[in-house]
Amino acid sequence: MGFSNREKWISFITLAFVGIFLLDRYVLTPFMERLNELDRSKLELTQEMQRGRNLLKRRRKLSATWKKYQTGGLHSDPAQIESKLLHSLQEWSEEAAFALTSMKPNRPRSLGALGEVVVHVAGKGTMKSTTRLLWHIQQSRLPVKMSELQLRSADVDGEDLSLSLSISALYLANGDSEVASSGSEGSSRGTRR
Amino acid sequence: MAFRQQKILGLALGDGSILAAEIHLRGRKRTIHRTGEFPLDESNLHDSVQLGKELAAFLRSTGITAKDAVIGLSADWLVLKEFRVPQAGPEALPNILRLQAERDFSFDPKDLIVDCDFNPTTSNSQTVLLVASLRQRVEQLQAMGQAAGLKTLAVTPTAMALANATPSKDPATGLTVCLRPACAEIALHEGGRVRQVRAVPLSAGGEMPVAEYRAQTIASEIRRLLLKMPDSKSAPFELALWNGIEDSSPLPAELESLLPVSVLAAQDMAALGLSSAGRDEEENIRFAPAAAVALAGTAHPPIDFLHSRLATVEKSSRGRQVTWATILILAVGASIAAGWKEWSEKTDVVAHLTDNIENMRDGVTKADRFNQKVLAASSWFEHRPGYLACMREVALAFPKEGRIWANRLSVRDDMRVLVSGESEDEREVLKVLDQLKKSKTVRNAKLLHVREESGKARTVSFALSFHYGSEE
Repeated sequence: MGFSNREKWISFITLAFVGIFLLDRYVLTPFMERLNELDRSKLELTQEMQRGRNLLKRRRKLSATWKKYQTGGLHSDPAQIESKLLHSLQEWSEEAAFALTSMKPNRPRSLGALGEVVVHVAGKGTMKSTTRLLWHIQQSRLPVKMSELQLRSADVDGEDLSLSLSISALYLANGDSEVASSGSEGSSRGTRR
Repeated sequence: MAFRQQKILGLALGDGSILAAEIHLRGRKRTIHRTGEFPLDESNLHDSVQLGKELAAFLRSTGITAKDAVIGLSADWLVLKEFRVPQAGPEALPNILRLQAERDFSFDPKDLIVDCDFNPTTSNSQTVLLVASLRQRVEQLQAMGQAAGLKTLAVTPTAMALANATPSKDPATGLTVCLRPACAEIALHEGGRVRQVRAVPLSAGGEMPVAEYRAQTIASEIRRLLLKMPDSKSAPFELALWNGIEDSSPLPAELESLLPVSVLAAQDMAALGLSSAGRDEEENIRFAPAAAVALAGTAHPPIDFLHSRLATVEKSSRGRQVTWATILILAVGASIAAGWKEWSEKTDVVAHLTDNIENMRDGVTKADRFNQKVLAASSWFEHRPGYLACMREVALAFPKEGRIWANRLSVRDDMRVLVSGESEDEREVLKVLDQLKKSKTVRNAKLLHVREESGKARTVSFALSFHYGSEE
């Protein structure tokens, strides 16, 4: 049975549309999606790589800082830094004419690769002596920082101040067991004057 | 002046054999060089390759070395139709003729190869001879020639080739009869163009003498032929007889007695413009159809099924289709290649990036930990919390005169500051609060309470809170 030209054209156009549809659905669209996915992957990987490079670059910069910290009194033994801090506090208070009433070291606390020893200090002094003590702590070469401060004035002139202060000293934590052993030792060294 | 010698092989099919004649052309000199007769069983044509190999062996055995060949078809393989068409342009005429062929020939057009020969008659119309043959047969012959190692130059009717090659004293109307053992091929030509071709079987004569039987059969066919050509010039005609049968010497006289014709018998190769090169002339005459077919290869024959004028149009149309298909395929191919290249490049880049990231992953992880450690440690060194600065900020917010004073200051780890104290009136408290808010390092400064102190006249207690340090 022969087909007329009109029927042939209709068949051809129908087949062409079906072919284009199938080509688009099963070849072109998946291919384009795959290309887009590759683009996204490329962008994400490029960003990740850039982040990595930035971190490596920053590490190189921070290496000098870290060396400075290590030479600036960063120890791996918490007991040692605690001892240094207590002695320093003693010196600073004497120099500032501040009367320390208590120094109580807490159990060392791990902060990942680092650890801190916190010492609670209490004492009395004038505004000048208190400020002097705080200045010593602030300017210390030891890795210490104040973490909590409470100041009370017994008179209007501010010449009779009570100071309660938490001072944190940093050390290099080598392991939990080491920290634990140092901590138990530190907690037994609380002094009270 | 020396010319390169050209060899053309003429293969005339029909009457159960293929007559082969090799002619040599050197300048104007044309020589019939070698001849041979290859037995042909038409039923073997379907195995063209085998037939071609056998033909090649036969040609080698006869010493025929020509590679260019022209194939001549027997008249009984042809369908001819002559009709008048109006003058038309070169583009329209082939379409008209193709339509005419489809209408006149009772075959599927796809199964036929049709060529035509024009014969201009008047200024308004022209006579066209349509000649058709089975496409399958022509393709089989082509395949046979290819298998025999021949390059087929043309496929043309033998009778027409012979009629065209035979010189005529009367160019107006004439007949060419080629007599072979079992058949005769008759060509009617007029004005130098063949108008009709007929094949007449001469297989049985009964009790009648053979020459008489042949003469009567041929004469009857010629009469029928002339009846169908009412516009042909009236008798007497000139009849060129190519007698390929040795015992037919009485035939010319018999034909002249039956028809108003003058027979030009005993033609020789010189009549075809060929020299015999010392060969037996009677033997040559037997191969005259093959020689005429070979001569048709020296110029474009009027009918050539390999280069049909009507097929040219179809070929052109098909050529356009092929061109478009080629362009489409190339475009699709180029798109696929471009897509593949892009995909390949992107995949390579992603793989390269992934490898690089994997290679630097350990280093990056360690660097990240190290950086975090150093940044964390920095708050115990150069980035210590500014407790003294905070106290200074509080001190500056209070006036020098003692109308308001603080009696308690606490600073938490997150630098949240709480100030409590006493004042002579509420306005002083608000002034201190405003002063704190003006500072760039103080955030979220707010009044927690202001209340009169019980038991103390003209004194209020207050509490303020704020965050010290910039938001960063």
